Amino acid sequence: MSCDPFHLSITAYLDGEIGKEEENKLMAHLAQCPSCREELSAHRQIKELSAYLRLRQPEDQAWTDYWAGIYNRLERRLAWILVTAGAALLGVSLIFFLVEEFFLQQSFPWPLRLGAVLAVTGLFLLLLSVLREHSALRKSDRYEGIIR
Amino acid sequence: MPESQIGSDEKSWVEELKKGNKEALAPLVEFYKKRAYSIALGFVHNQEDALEMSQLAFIKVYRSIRHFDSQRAFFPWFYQILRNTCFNFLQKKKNLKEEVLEEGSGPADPSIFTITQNPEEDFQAAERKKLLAQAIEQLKPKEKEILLMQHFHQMSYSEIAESLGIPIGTVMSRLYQARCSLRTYLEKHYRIGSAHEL
Repeated sequence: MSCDPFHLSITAYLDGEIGKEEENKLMAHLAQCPSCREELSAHRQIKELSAYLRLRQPEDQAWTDYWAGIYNRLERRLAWILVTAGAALLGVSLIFFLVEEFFLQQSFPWPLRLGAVLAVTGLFLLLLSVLREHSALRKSDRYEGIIR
Repeated sequence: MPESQIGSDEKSWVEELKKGNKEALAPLVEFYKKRAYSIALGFVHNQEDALEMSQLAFIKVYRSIRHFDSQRAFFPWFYQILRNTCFNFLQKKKNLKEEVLEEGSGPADPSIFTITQNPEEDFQAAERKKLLAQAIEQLKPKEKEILLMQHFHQMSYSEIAESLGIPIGTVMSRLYQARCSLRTYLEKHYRIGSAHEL
């Protein structure tokens, strides 16, 4: 009889994931198959040996600061949104103000008026671009799409 | 805490998170942080990066919790988020290395393992443990991942299958292959032919 089907049974047996019926079949096979007994013994030794290995752990301080690191970033995100929304509102208001109070005032030379308005509009467009980039990054977040 | 108690608490934490209660993330983080860090370490091979990636994964949990089906187990879903976070990080790091560094000029990553030594054990026993750590590190990525999940993250076959989106039969065959690869490596490097003396 081929040993192949019993290889997976050996794995499940070692990990305590085997059913009673499958275990009985495996035991019967092991009783008359030295090759599978050797396989079981070797895999068992590997599993036992791996119990002496530990994944490297960070300093205790890292665990103390762990939650604060997450919480602060969640909080900062809200702050960032508020700051950019506020800045956008201020930008729009400033442009209106400049157009009304500065650009339309004939007392300033026109290159000065035009230059000031162009500069402020450019700054506002930059701000909009940052906001759009942030929004695009959020939409393309692969993990948001994981639905279980 | 009994497992059933954890399960019911976990469900209530997730429900609170879905309502937007940020504070409900704290017990989830507390419960899973060490496991999350260990999983990340298996991918990124650096303690600092592993801490960072695991924290980032929790932040992503908070932001995408509305997509989570509360009827399903939380951990396999979290595992996928963490795994993708680490893969993205490694991809960026690889691109950066290709741009900035000459190939092979960076320092080698240290082992992700520490070895528990028994003061009375002989040199050979200590050597076997060290070799096993090396053997795990050189496994194929899929074999290594599944071995870490089973041996070091204490995940059941069904949790592994759900986390990786593969049948339980595949979990078993990958684990079997991983252990065969470890056996081959140990026999080759320990210069011992017999499996009984591994």
